[in-house]
Amino acid sequence: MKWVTREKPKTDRIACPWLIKKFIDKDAEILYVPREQVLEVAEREGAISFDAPDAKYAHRNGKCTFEMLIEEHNLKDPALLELAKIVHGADTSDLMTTLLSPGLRAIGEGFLHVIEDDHENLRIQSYIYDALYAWCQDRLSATE
Amino acid sequence: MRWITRHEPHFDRCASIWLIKTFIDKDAVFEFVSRDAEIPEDAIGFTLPKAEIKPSETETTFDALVKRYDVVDPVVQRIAAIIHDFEIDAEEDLDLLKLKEPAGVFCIVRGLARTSKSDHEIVFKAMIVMDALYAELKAQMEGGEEE
Repeated sequence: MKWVTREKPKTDRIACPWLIKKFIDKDAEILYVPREQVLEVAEREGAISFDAPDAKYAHRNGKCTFEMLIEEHNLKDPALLELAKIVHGADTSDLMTTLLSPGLRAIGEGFLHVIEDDHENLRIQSYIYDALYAWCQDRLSATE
Repeated sequence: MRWITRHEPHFDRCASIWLIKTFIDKDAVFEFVSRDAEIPEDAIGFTLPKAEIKPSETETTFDALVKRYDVVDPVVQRIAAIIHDFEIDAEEDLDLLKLKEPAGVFCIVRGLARTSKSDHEIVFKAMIVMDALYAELKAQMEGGEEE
C-alpha cells in the first residue's frame, strides 16, 4: 500500500512509518507531501493518509497518530506499547509522559536540521526507533 | 591520528568519539580493544585504565576531552552538561536526572548497542544522533528558547 503524510517529519511522521513497515504493512511505500496536498494525493494514488488534518489516521482523543495506529490495528506487543508512551510525550504537549520523551523530541527536531531529504531522514531515524524498541524490550524483560 | 578505547561504547564514549571527530581531530580513526590492552605509542588512548584521558569521580570522558583540548563551543558545553548530569550527578539513575534530555538520548544510544553488529556500527549510528542533538541544541540556543 501507499501511505501519505505531511513532509518535514519530526516524531510522529517518523514513528508511524517505522511502525507501519514493521508491524502493519511490510511493503508500505511512504509519501511525504506538502500539508495541503495530503488528502488530494491520498485520493489520486489510492493511498492511506495519516498524521494530517482529516487524515484516516490522525491525533484523536488526546492520542497521537502512532497510538491510534496501534489501537486500530489491535497491536498488543508490550514493548511497542512502552514505546508508544515515549512517542506520545515527544509528539504532544504532555512532554513528560516518560523520562525518555524530551530526548526523543530533541533528536527528532534535530534531524530536520541535519538531513534535508525526508526519506533519508526516515531511513536514518528508523535506527533510533529500532534502538528504542530494543531498549523497551530489555527493560520489560529485566522487570519480569 | 589513531584513537584507542574499550569495546562496547556507551553514551559518554559515543559522545566523546563524536566530539573528537567533529572538534578535535577530523581524521581520527578509532580502534576498540579490551580493557587492559597496551596503548601503542602512536595512538591516543581514552577510557582505558592505562590512558591519560578517562573518567573520574568528578568528570566524564567527554569533560576530560573538552578540558584537555580546550573546546569552547557553547553547544558542546551544553552537551557536556547533559552527559555529566547522567554519568556523574545521577550516577546513571534516570530518576535522579536534573536535565530533561539525557534519559532519551542515553536509552537510544544504549539501544543501538543491541541493534548494531559491531562497535563501529554503534558509533556510526550514534554519530548521527549526536549531530542531530547538537543541531537542535544550537537552534534552541540561537532562538533563545529555554526548552
